Amino acid sequence: MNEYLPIFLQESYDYISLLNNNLVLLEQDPGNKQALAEVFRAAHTLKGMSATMGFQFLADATHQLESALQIYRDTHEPVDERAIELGFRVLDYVENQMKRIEANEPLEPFQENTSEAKYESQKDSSIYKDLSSFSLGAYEEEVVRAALEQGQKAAVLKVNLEQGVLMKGVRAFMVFKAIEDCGFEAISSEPDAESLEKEEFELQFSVLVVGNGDLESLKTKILRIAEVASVDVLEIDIKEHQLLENEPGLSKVIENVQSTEPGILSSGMEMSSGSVANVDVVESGQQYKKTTKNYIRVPEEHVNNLMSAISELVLEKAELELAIKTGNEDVLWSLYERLSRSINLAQGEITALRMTPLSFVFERFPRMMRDLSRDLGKQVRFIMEGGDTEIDRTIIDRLGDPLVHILRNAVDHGIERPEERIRAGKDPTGTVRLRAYHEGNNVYIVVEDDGAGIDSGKVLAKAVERGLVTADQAPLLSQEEVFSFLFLPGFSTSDTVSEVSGRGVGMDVLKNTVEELGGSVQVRSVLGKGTTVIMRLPLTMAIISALLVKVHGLILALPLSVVEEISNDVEAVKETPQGKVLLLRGELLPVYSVANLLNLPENEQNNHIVVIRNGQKKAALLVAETVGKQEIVIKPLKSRFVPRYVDGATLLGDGTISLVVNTSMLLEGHK
Amino acid sequence: MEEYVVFTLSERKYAITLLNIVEILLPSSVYPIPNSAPNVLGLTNIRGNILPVLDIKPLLGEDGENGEVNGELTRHIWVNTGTEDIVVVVDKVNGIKRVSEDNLAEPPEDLAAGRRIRKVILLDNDLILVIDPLDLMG
Repeated sequence: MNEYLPIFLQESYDYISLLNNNLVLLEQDPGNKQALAEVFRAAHTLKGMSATMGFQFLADATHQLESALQIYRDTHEPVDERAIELGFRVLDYVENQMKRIEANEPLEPFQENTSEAKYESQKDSSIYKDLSSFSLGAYEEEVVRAALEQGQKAAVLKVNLEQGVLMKGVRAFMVFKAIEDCGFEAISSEPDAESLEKEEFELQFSVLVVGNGDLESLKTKILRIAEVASVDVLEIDIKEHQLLENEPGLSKVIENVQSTEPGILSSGMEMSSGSVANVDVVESGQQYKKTTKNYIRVPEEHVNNLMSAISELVLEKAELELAIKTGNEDVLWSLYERLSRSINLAQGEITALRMTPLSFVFERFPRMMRDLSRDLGKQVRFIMEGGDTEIDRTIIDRLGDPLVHILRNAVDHGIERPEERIRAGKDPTGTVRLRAYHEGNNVYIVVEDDGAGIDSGKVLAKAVERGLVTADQAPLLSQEEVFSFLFLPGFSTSDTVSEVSGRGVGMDVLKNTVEELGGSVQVRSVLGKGTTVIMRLPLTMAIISALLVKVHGLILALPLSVVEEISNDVEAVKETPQGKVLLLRGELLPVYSVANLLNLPENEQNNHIVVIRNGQKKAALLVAETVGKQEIVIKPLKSRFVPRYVDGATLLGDGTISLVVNTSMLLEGHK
Repeated sequence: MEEYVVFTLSERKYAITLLNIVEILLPSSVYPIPNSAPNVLGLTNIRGNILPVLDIKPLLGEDGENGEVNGELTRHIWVNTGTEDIVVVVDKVNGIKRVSEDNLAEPPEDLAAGRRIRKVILLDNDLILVIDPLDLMG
């Protein structure tokens, strides 16, 4: 079970956003049949997945969502607002529970309230009378229906163990085993599987089973298990099922069961049958481990191409060995060419694997914008375009918060209240447009609103007040220069500006994030017409892990690929007539002061040692401080004004420029 | 007619054709590059573009301390030289001037020598020295 959990969680989050987005669509257009159908498809899969994983509460809650909307699918009437509201509540509940699952906390049941009373009454009427001691959850009911529809049998087994039984858990497990052996699936049990495993029950437990096997032989088999006193088999027969079918829409539900395409998870799990959910827990008795692994879903094509590039490489490696033995230079060169080609191919594919569509972050926005505009009492039409634009994963991961920030600003401070908009002669419903597109080697993400805009005069006045620009210079500044003040830390947290425009709270964070990713951000605005925030981001990035070190107040980045170890054991550095050496586990390494190599004054304690390896050669570098390890984006610096030891530069979180040092160039001429 | 950005370096006026100017900016932080040429002041970050910042005074034979960049009117001019993007520090930006062919002259021999001056602009009793951005590349 454990191994499926991360996949389950990821898929479920996907379905939750899908559901959220389609509910938002439904809310805007209650007659949208396509959105409704999509909701049913997603909800059904989510429900199935949850039940398969044994998260009955989730399955039940999702079922409530389905039930609330059922009537509208049958009647083709526009969906009622309350049903949608319930839908949103169910999704929020499921999402919260997913977080609990991740945190390894027990699940809570869904808090029902009046809005689903309609469903409740329907459910009550469908409960089988003779099974009153065994409450059929929403999911079980449906499984039973589906099973009966397919001519299978369904029954509730009531198992009584003998007085003084020693290993209740084991006996329960054997009952489950017998059920499986006889061609049935255990759908659920009372108490649940976990309690059975922990032996938290008296002597009796019930199991709901469906399947093609013979109930009589199942009964015999269970009775043969030691310490089982008796078994009652309550078969759910076809008559009761027909009864159910008279209810509106139930046949549709069953249709849905069969037509729904199973998700990756559910198809995988189906093979191992529903009983796994119960039995496996009994067997393993393990809690879900709190390991968070990141999974990425990638097109198979890239993996195949990568595989073939690698097989080429393996082949070429073998040929290379042969060629080295013969020493034929021509053959070696041609092999070199082929190797380069294969490596480039592999590199291209692995880069492609890193590309992810922006919809990955975009998909949670429709719901967020809906909630936001409701909270703020504004009417907002939210349009998203270009969600299929692909960009490097690393960028995607960090883009979420800045985008949320811009969108919030657009609704909060950009779009005016409906009455204000009417007064200004605008459509009372404002528009916020989120757009993404490729251009050259960049991806542009643009957030546009038709709101109040930013008063550049006020911004300028504030800038003068804060002494950022003199009053004489102020009129000379371009619009762009004026708006660039908004990106200064704390600039528009001041009320004068935020009342008018409100932008800038955290705009400095946005700017830093985007620039760290190797992009840029720009604000354009026309007072009364609206504001546009344009983010330019690189399509891919050269990202490396680096060790940041400090020398003479400068932060330098050393690629982690050359760093062997760090230490502050200065005692191990010895003076010799040839210079300093480091005695490291019996090895003598030359020691260089980085400040010295860079012709910087050595006026501080350089007593941190970084051991590096360039090819076969090792050396120890002395630095003032090791700041830490970090993933950095290298911006190449192809300038004749930059010395050769500089491989590029990177922007640190606070906007500082740090040089990425090529250590072998740095040491060149010093050996 | 051609447009030039006119700026001042140590009291003398210089011009670069507007075609090569990307942007004129208020100076932002400059991060030094150890071991670089003396007139390379460091790197600056302009909206995610990391560019070298140059003091071009020594190149033009002007006096003035290296890195004397703190004057109130000091500006950064982002120049695309045709081969790469650089930022030059100037004491003051005077403005943009439209200049006709008639106002352009060959520089006097002694002025041009060692100063990389290609042309001079004679306008309103002013003498403005025109720099070819490619010459800034050293």
